[in-house]
Amino acid sequence: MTCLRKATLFLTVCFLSLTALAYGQFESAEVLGTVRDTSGAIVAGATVTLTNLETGIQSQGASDASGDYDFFNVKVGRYSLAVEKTGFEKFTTKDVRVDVNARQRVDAALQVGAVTQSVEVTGAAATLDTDSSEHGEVVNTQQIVDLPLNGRNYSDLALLTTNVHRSIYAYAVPPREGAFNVNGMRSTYNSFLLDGVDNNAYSTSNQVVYLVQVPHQLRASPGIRFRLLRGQRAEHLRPVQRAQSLQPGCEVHQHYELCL
Amino acid sequence: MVDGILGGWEVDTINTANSGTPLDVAYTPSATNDVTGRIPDYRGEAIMRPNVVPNPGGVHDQINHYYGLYTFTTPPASDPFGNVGRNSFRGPDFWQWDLGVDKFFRIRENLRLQFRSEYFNALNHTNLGIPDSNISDAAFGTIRSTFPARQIQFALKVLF
Repeated sequence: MTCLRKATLFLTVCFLSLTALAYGQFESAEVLGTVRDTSGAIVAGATVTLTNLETGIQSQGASDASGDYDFFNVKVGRYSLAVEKTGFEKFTTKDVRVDVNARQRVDAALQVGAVTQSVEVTGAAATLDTDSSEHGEVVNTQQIVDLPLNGRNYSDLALLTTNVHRSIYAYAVPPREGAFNVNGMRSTYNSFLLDGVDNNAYSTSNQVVYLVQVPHQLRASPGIRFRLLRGQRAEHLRPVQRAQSLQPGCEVHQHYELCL
Repeated sequence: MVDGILGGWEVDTINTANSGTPLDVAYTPSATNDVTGRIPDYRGEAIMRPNVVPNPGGVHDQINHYYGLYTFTTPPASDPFGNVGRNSFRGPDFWQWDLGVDKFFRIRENLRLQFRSEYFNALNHTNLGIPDSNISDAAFGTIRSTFPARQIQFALKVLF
């Protein structure tokens, strides 16, 4: 019965969203790093360019006196990073993946040479997060699309992370939707953000909005908050960009489902 | 034809197993034992803990006598907090295995149909809820709730 109602809701909102060309997305991440030369000495004043591989949008910055650079408000996606400085070869790395709310470190090591020469480096993006004390886990598109999910209730994905326990209240009559205990806390203290915007009902522990689309990526940070990100529309609007994009996530925004 | 029958199958599972959540054993105080008043506990109601002694020969089972190996007594009004430690007991363990078996059907180059069948708690393992942990209740030490039994969900998805 509930399932049937959800299905109706699903369809209605789907049609509405087909006409919507873009959404606001407030959830962002950060890309930071240090520029050094091969001997490990700091390189100040190097030009750092961060390019979104899916939309082509670029942002530019420079390393400061201690060789550090920092890009705030970076949208989730795949990026390339280029570092240039006179007297050094151009440094580029193409496989920088930025996850929800991440502080992604990419350190650059410049080699002496002409700027016209360039060195492409793979694996420069740090896989270990040493720039944040937050403890969390990212659930990616592939898992979200493939794994069995009861009632397509997205909050159940939080159960894939450690220290999260199913609450018996999720099955009470009436059920408390999205009820799970994190680090032994009451489910009342869970907080849901959708694209960075508050999505709480403030009566129990509710997530409010049924998702129209499968979320693009989701980050559960036990003890702090529960983040969720819808697919970005940019790829959908730019078929050329989409063709370049290799991430399976790009398909996601275009599928809709019917709960039977 | 061969691809239609043998191709496009997908199997995915989630196995969840964890020990139970911590439990506090408490009592409902009489007016003489009460130090905070009975207000909803997220506003700061004191959980009144009783005294405990072991009861090695007691009847113990999960569903009806969860705390059968212990004897609890209400402390005197002069000393309303007993000696049971905070979170000194654990609820029942939880184990669930979810299974998804999906099949893709190719219709056109850019049009695919997916039939999903998802089995939650596929082995139908009984996961008990939490026991009544208030010694003033008639139902003290009993579990009268369970997590869901096996649930099956089918879905049809069009990918384009």
